[in-house]
Amino acid sequence: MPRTAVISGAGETEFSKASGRSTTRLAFEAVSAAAADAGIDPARIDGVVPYPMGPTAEDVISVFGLPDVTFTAVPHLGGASAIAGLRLAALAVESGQAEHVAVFVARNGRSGTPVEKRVVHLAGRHFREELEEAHGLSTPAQWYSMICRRHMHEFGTSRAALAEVALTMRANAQLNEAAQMHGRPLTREDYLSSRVIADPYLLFDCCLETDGAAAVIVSAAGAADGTRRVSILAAAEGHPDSPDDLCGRADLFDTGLTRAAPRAFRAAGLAPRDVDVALIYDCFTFEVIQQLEEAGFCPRGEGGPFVLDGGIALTGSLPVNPHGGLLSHAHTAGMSHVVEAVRQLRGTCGARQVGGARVAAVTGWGDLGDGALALLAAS
Amino acid sequence: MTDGHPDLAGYREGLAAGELRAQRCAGGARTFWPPRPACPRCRCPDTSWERLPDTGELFTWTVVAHTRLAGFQDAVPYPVGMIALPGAGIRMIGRIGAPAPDLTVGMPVRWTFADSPAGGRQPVWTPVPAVREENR
Repeated sequence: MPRTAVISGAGETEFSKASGRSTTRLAFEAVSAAAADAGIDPARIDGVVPYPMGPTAEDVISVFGLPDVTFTAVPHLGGASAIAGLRLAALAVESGQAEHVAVFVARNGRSGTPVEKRVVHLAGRHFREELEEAHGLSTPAQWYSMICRRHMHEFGTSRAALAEVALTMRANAQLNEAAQMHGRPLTREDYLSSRVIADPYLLFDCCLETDGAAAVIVSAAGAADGTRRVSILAAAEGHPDSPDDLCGRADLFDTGLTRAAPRAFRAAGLAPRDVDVALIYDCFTFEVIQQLEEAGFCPRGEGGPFVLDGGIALTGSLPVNPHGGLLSHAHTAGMSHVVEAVRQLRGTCGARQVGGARVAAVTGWGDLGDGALALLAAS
Repeated sequence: MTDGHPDLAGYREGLAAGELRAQRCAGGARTFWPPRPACPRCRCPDTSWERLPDTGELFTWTVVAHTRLAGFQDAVPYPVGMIALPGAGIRMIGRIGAPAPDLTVGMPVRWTFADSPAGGRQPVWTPVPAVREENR
């Protein structure tokens, strides 16, 4: 009888500009909350999948005093690591390597390491230093804004489409008390007049930097409460060509998600139209538009019109990031997107609940375009 | 020049000689960028360094308004972009020596050395004047 993997629990800390505590403590809090939500004693965690930066598996094993962890693994896909980590945890559970695997992200992204220091961990470090920083290029906002400009040139993607993503995420956050931008509405004028970061990216095209943590517990289906568990139908990862450099790829819009999404949909026996709610890794507004295209929710080049037609609003055909996303909820490298998917599928999201949500798609985007997609379903 | 990654030594030697250079693989006779231990298409490790054309096309760019890069903080805002070299079939990153409002996707650009805000000299790409103007 094949074992299936489910998400049995999810938990988060509060999100702030200054947590005032260590990332290991943040991880302890989020994993504790996830274990409590799963209804298990944390001592039963026997698998740990950390994020490639921050607390390690050994840190978590130590802080919990876990007696015997039989499975650890670390994906190195940047912001796609939460979904890639979910996949590793599911593989471990399905193959009988572990019973309850903690997957988490814990960071002091605002009070601690700025993004310029985090990118030193990417592949191709010598390319960044000698071939890019030598010319003044150094951050993800600068890299991806170049892709955005080319997309605007080739497909007519507009400033208005980018604005719609930012405004939708901020509107969603007004319905989520846990969101960092709750109580801070954004008008179109606010967005358009915000300062330039890396043109065409304005301030409100860029995601938050956050102190906080999020975690899930992945368990065998039989070991988890039937009514609250969320099935992992499929999870897949992929890389762009090449994952260590933007210039060398023949198709500038080629991403890891382009490869991962078809794999995930095929494994789950589903199509993009079957998805009720999408949690898309919104590091920048344009990347929502690009991932809608590359995941197959609309043809390439039509992401802008899809957004302008209201498609990603809570009332739209494909609600995106009801919690507010990286842009307005918190930046936990996409783990909060998994947590929100779990809550939406359980029907516990109150004012921001997507009615009838049975299937959720969660994307990851990392480094220079690594990607991942998970398909989750209500029990 | 002993600093820098060994895979980029040929590129640095080219700059020292006043040239932009990239590797061409012996297997498929293709130029590739960035420099690597082997051709990314055919995995052939037998490569040679060749001079690149001095001109290209502006494929895309960003205008950096905020940076923590040493030396560049006083240079903002500045454009930096991806330049396509169609003859070689590659693209590379380069600082652009013209104001952002003057830039259009696809415009022809040529590189020359210029003082870098971070010290030393680096290639900087500037728009090539239109043929009509050159013939005056």
